[in-house]
Amino acid sequence: MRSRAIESFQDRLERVSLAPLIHTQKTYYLFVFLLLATVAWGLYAYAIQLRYGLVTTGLGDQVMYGVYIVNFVFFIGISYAGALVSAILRLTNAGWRSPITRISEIIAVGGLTDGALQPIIDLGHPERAWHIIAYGRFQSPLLWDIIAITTYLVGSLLYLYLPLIPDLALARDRLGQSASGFKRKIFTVFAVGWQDTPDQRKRLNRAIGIMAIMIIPLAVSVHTVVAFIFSMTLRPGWNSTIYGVYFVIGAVFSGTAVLLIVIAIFRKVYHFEEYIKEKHFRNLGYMLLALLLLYLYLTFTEYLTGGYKMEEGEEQLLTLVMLGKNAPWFWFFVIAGMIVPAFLLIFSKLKTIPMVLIAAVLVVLGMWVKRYIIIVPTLEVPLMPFEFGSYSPTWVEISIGLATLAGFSVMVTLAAKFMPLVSVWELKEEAEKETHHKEEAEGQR
Amino acid sequence: MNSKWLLAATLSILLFAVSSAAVLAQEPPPPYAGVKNPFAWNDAGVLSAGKTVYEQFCGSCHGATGAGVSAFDFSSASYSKQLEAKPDSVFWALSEGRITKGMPPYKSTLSEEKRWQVITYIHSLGGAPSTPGPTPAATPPVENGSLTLSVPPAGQTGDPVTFTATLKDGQGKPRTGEKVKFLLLEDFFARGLVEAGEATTDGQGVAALEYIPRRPGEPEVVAWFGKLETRSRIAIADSGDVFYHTEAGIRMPAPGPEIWIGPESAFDLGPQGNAPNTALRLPGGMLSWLWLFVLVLIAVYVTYIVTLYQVLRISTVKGAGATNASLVPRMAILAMIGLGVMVVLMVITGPYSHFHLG
Repeated sequence: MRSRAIESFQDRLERVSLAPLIHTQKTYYLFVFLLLATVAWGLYAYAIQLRYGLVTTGLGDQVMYGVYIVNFVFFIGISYAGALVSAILRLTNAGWRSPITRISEIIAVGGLTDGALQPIIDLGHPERAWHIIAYGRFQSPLLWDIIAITTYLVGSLLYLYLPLIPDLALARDRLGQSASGFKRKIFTVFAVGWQDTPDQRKRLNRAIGIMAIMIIPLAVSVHTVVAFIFSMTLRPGWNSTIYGVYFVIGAVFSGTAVLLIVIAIFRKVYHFEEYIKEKHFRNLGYMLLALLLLYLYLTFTEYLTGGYKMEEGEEQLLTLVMLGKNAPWFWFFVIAGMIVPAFLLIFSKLKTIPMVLIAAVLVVLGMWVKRYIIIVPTLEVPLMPFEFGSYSPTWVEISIGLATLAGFSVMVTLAAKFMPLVSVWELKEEAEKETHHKEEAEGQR
Repeated sequence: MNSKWLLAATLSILLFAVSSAAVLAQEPPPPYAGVKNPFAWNDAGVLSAGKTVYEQFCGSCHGATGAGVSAFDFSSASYSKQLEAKPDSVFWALSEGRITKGMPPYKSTLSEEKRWQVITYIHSLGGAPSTPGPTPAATPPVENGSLTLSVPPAGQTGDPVTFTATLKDGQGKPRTGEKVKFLLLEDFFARGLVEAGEATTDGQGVAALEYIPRRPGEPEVVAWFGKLETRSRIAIADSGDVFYHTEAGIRMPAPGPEIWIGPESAFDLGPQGNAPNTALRLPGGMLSWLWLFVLVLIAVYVTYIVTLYQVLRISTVKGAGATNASLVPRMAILAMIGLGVMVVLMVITGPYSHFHLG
């Protein structure tokens, strides 16, 4: 009896997790079409920017970072979901992680690719991105950035790919003719002849173990270096020693929120309710709350250390941020991005999933706004009395920004068609372990 | 409509008055507190001398009429009145600058006399009626002394030259232990005096300053001591060397001789000032601290390759006999090696002009 129950759990798991690879609904096509249309519109806007130059953006001599760099920090931050959530949970052997690691790793790769593109979009002469490789000098934080992001992107791809091997083999073996020839080829080539032999398992676990450890310092280094771009300058607000830590925490924070949103969508669309349970939302919700409090504390520290000493530029910055024209953004971040989500998360027991989700959406919006607050107002503080900068994005920047979001969504959506979204073999292992425990317990009785 | 404009104008005038008053109301610290203009406010000679200084140093920001910076509108009568009431505040601001407002200090560029000349001129811009000032009180430290400047006729950029100035008092005796200032009259965005340095006179009254010229040209060299001033000219040729050196951090001791691998052309700028060729340079030699970063990067990429090697072994296990099973890990290992090499090269190479590793 019992063994049949396990059979059916495993069969159902395979059926549910492989279904998105072969069955595609009409609404999916519509959704992808809308996303691609947005990307196409963004490409048109980018063509305009290439044709007429950065004058089509709101950027200028004083405020030279805008929406693009905000998105850069934002999307690199999102990629943390993958690195830290999946690696830390894997290293601490948290059993509940299995259904969400794959999705978080996909988010990591998607966010990184998207984020890494932003500085190139920000260049008036994108072909000169080559110069940082050819003529870069080690003293430049931009060079550190390129190196750190490249290395981390490669590591994330590897970390996404390794646990995927057994599942690709499963898709190769189970789907047969129901998958298209192209997909079959991909499954076969990328499954690297996985037959689930003990030797193969040993090697795979060793590789995953190495990468799970490796990805954490890499992730930390990437966001620290992203923070260095700002904190290596003498600008008010950026001239801060906590920026590295601040950015790292902010990244894990926003990454966890994005992860919550994405797993909720996939759960609903592909009926993963049996695997992604309320427990996941509750646990991730608690993580989000802890990170929120940490981020709130760091934000407080940031403004306290600046505001207490109150150098002249700092005073202008604080006025601009808290009372001036950036005040609506700032207070939106504080109230809608911090305080409201905090209460939603604290009382999330009332109605876990909706409350955690609303909190996650607010956090994502708030964190985007916070990045804007970090970047733009500082540049609006004049270094010389005649250098008043002001910034508001143009339609070109807004279009490209929306296309960036659409591009990220497309990457995550398309991934659903090429890989099982839950880690099937790890879920099976968990299920086996559980029944094994039960049997032992019953045997002792 | 009209009344609105009137209101706006009144308000802005009030605002100007209040803000300039607020600035002038700040009390100057001791060396400046209570100092008075040694010249009469309407002394024609002083005014014309002040005008020259004003045009050279102030006009580019404050404008020819003095209205260039609205918060400090010299052309307004109220400013002149404030100035007359509290000349020490303006003298203080001119001497020490208002860095946060973009105004540089002029105490080393303009002598005390010149600063008062220009303040007298600024006073005249407002057209306020003048009251006769007190007689000049400042006495030069060396009465009837002499300052002679000796400068080599030519030099080249990057090579140190020595300026010597000899200071003697009225009796022709050398003055010891006095600070002489050396300046260069340079064209850099605007024409003006740039301080080259300061030197103290020795027993023979000679102050010598070693100076490394950075810009080619024929600048006038000026030596100052109190009211004494002498000028001379030097021709500086362009040696073509790149000697722009700024560094982050402190200069760590280099543990070995510099290592340099690259073409000769890497020393020179490309056409139109483009970045020169890339070369490998380790200023600290084989013991350079840069290796730490290189080692970390190598460790990361070697780990990637080790991980991929595990994947490769998965594909070559017995029974894994699918065609092309090891294609992905093989390609990935190759890509990883390429990427690792590129990243390491990015760290240790760069155009010569861009190397500022201590």
